[in-house]
Amino acid sequence: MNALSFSGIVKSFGARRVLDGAAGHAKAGRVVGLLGRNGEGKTTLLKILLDLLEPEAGQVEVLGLRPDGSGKIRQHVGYVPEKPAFHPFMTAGEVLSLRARLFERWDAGRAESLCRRLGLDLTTQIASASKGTLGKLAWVCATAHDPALLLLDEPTSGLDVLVREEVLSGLVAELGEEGKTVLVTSHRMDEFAGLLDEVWVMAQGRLAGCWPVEELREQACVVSGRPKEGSSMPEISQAVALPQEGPLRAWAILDRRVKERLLGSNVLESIQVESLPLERAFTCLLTLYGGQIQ
Amino acid sequence: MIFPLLRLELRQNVLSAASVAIAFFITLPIARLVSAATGLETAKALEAILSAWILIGLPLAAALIGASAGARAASSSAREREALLPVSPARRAGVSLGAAALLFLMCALLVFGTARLSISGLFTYEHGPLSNWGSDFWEGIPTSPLLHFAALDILFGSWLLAYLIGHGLAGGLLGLLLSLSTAAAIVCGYGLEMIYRESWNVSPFIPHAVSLAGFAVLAKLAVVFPNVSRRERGMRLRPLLFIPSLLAGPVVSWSLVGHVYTGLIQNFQDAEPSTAFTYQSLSEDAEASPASLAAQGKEILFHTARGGVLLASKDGLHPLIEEERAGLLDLLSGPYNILHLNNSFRDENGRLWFERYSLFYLEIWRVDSQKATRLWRSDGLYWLRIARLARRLLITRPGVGPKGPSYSLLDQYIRLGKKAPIITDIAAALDDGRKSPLLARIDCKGTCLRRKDGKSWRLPGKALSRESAFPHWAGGRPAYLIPYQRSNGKDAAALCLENGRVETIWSLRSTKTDFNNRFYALPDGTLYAYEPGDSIGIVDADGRFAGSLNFSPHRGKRKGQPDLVYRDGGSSWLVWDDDLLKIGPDGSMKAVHRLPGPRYDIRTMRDGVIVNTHSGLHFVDWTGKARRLGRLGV
Repeated sequence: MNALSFSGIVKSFGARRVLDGAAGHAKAGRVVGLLGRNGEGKTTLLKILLDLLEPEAGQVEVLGLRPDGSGKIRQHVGYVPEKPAFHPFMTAGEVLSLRARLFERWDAGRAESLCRRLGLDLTTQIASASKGTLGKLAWVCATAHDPALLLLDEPTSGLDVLVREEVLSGLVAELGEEGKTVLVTSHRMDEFAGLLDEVWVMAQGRLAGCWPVEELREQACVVSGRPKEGSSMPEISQAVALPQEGPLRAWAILDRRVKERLLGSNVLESIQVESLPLERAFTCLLTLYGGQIQ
Repeated sequence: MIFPLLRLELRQNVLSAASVAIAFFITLPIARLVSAATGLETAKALEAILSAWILIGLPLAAALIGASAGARAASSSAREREALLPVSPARRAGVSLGAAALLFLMCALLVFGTARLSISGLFTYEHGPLSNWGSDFWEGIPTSPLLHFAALDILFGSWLLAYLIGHGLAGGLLGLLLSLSTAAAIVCGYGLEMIYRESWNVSPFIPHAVSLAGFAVLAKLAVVFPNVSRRERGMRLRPLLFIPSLLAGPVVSWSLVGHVYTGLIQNFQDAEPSTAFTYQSLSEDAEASPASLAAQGKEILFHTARGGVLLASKDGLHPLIEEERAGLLDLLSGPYNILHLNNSFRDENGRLWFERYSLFYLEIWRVDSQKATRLWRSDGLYWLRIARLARRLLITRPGVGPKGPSYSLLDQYIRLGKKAPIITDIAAALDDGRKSPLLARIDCKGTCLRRKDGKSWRLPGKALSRESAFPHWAGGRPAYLIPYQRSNGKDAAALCLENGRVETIWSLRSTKTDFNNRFYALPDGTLYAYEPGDSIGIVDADGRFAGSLNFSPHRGKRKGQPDLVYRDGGSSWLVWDDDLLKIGPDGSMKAVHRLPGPRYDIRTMRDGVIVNTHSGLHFVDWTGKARRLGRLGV
């Protein structure tokens, strides 16, 4: 069963089309990483899924609900924004108290427990709260109503190392184990590498690729070798040519079949195959779908 | 789910309401300064300040609170903080608006509470500073609901525009402007209706205006809130929809005013000189004097709508003053004054005075006395504008005084280019009339009538009233009718003739007759008065009681009372409903003539009557022959 699905999503801001026919779906209980370069529409997609923005075209279904502007979807979805914002005249406790009255499934015990785990002081005044405190508060707000779907937009931004560890190895992992669906975007996706089931790559306003993380972990590799004299290099699709100096050539390859095709082409000698770390595989994915290697 | 949001909104907008409250308390001590500057009692000055708060301060507060709430709700920071809550944007906007309304009502309660208005007074304005505002202008208008409606409209409009523009000051000013425009239209429309409804069938403005303005508010709600939702969800607004809805209130209201206005203009064009004869003379039978136009078979008619004046006789109508096409200014000032001829009078010199303009002035600040505190007060008399042409035409009439001086029919003071004098006290002007040399007074014992020139009459009994007596006219000479009590306790009237003779009339009648000011004069000097029991008592032109005419046998289906219009050879002519009746000396009906149409009014002339009907003015002679004189301007 899909926890979320969308197809043909179009969304523009002024003359700029940010999403142009984006389509995808995530099964319930999956932890999905959403990769994409800046401005590719990751946050916009999350806001559409949250029913905060309305697409100009396309179909969206989240937990069996269609966004209708009523905000009902947010009763079942948790969201950790990149820059959490709360009313400055409130304390952290008042922020939670307000949400406790608005979210039907708000679990005060869970909220209290989360605050303890994250070391969040409820008497902290929002106006004077640090970025890390706001981040912690955002985590509590996003998860205390027991959402079936969690949308995380740079969720570790501003958190110190200890809290980040608590969030990653504790919260997100627990959520995954509880069968919650998680969709996360991060510029440090490697932090989530051990938690992800699959990664989506956004490019040119679309969901350009969808990769199971396990496959990436098994198949992503770097193939290097010296081209044989007189042989012409074949066109290798689905591979990222890595910058090399001298006669050696190297490719980051994410798919076993591409690797086999390259090796079978018999144009290389002194071939070396090394596995590609997942964080580098994510970078290659971005390059593969329209960017330059980072 | 509403209450947490409401509480949140109240917390966020409390600053604007608090600033209103602080401003309110700061201004209260100004009462002492106002008191020192104007001489008003401090309590009255305080009431003046509270009045200003109710009428000016609260609308401004509504704009301030609404605009600041709207601008805050539209701010990106507010959206970032609240967008994640599981509430629709439209509901959040609605709660923001509701919170602003609540804060405004709290400010209003503060002002009303300080003004010690009761709860009912809060809704009726029957107590406190506004209690003296019950002038005629507001009569029939649902003042209080309209004021509340206006305040809430300002609040709503300011909130909405600030929200859509994203700027508090601009939104507040625009919202205030739109609402005040609507309010001004409603006041204007109602003013037109109030001024003209007695004369023409002006459709009731207020119910239409209020219902349409209410519709406009609903249109705003229906159009704007979906747009709020679209805006919050990143969709393009639909200006073609919400801009008309924002403008609906003023546009609809001003359109209604335009409708009333054009209707009135049409009325002006179509109107007959329907109240042409309604002026009153200070001396009731002044026109019965030999010098009067009526005695000469002429009459002055005024076109009540268009200001034209014409001289009417059996030969036709002769325009004296051209009518004027009604324009906006005429609509607001001119015809109103011509319509209100009740304040017109003919003075002792035969000059015709009547109210030409009524000056309106605003008296907001004077709350110190009940008589002075009326929002609009009509004051002042201008000379009739017809004098402008009268001076060119040099219409004169012989004098009515014993020394026979000539008097201008109209004003001899006005000269070309010279502004008419303003008489602000009609009572004083009437007192001037009482300086007439023909004025006679009852002496202190009540048994003698004495005139200024020394001429006196001994009454057969004690006068019923000590009021001064103006002359009636009998046989072309001044005569005084003095009600008195006979020795047997019954009332009678003494007719004091110029030759010194005193005639007792109605002396044989056993029932009491109300003589005072109830004599009517015919152009030949015949006087008559209605008596109890469907009869008319008549004094002939020579000053002799000519007996009573019982008209009850001829009533049939006719209603009311007949007008005696002519006497000749013992026969009497009556106009009764739409018939001209000739009654013989023996009381039998001799002839019945149908008048040319249902009459608006009738004027008795020497040779016949001028009848004003829907189809125009007609002259009907004593044989019943009718001739259409025409219509003014035709």
